[in-house]
Amino acid sequence: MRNIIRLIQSNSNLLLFLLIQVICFALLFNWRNTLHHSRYLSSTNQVFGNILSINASITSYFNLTKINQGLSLENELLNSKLYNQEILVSSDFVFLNDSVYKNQYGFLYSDVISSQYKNRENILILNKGLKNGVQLDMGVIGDVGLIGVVVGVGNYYCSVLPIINNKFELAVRHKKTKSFGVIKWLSDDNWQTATVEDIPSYMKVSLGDVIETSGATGIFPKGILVGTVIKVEEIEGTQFLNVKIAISEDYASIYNSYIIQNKLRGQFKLLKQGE
Amino acid sequence: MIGFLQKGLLFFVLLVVQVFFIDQLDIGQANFFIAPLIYGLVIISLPPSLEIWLLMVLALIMGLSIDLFRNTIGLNMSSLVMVAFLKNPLLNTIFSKDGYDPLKELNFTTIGWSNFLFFSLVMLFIHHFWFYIIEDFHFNRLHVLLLKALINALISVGFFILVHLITIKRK
Repeated sequence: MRNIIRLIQSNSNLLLFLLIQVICFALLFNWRNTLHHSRYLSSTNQVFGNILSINASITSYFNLTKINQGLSLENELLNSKLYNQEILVSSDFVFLNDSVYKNQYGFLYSDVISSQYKNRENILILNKGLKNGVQLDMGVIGDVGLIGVVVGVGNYYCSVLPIINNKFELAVRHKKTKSFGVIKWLSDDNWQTATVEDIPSYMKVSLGDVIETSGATGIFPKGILVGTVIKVEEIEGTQFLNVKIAISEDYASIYNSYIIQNKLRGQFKLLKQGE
Repeated sequence: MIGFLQKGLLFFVLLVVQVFFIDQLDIGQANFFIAPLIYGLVIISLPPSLEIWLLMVLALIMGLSIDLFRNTIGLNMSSLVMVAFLKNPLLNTIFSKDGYDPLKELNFTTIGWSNFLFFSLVMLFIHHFWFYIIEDFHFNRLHVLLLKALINALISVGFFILVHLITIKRK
């Protein structure tokens, strides 16, 4: 017994070091393996959220021109969609609040108050939270295309898992052929590229083609831009393609975002459980 | 006491610079490769007479405060504690016992320019390399990580020189 105590005494620093490392690794892997982590130890809590939003309010002044340009481009796109929709194609009357139509998706504007893109596990922080109706697993899009999925919610802030995080996975599709694939962020991708796997090799995928959301997960509506193809490779020995895409949203300058609420998500989940 | 307050202030400044300036810096294609970690300066420059356990606890607190901003609980903590643990043994292997005064803090003037340059480069290399390894957590890109750690350690040393030139007392 005395020897054990002496051993502990003589190696106390090493033991403390090992103990701390074990604690760090436990925290780290607990953090990594559970996507929806505790909101007390993250930037979604109020203290850190406030500090980040002060920083964002200062720095956003420097980028006003860029933000405005993005917004007006998006307005242009939305306008063209809106007015093209209202062409009358038949002589029947169409009521605006017809119960045949149901509004499936709700959009909530939100500022990106903190963005990362240099690490392997990047997280964005937005300034909307539980009090604004944000919940876990909601989709987030930007001016141009897809940004990510909400993984942590505090009272006033939420954290978003972007495409450029090695935990990110989402079902997407190739716009021309409508064939499904899965988007991932592998270790050879940088913050402008991502990889789409599981597209069958008999599909003709060419450079510049558009990859968009498939709507299969119920998080995003169909047809939101994700990126454009920059490289196509056949994986030897398999029947699948390895498609590199350029992500259309630029994570190095990202200010506006919209959180998407799918009002029919409950039914979707029920169906998924039944499978 | 005043020394510790100064170190606390220095760490606060470094935290602000790290989280709100270096992490946000947009430098085009090099963005992905260049991401230096500069907050290790405080741990590296504390006097060697300080108990290792105290140094490790300080490193733990500093790492946690960086982690809370970066949303990577455990990552910066682990790598900074690694630096704190290896600091004194490495100091003893690189320099002889009379090469430095254990009561004084380590910087460019107390142990000489070339000595501190070399010592901080080694410490920073360990810091960055450990950080990248547990960030990636697989080993098929080890050569890339080594290069990345070396380059970022060099940049951080450059930053240390800058901090030294700013904080130096002019006579």
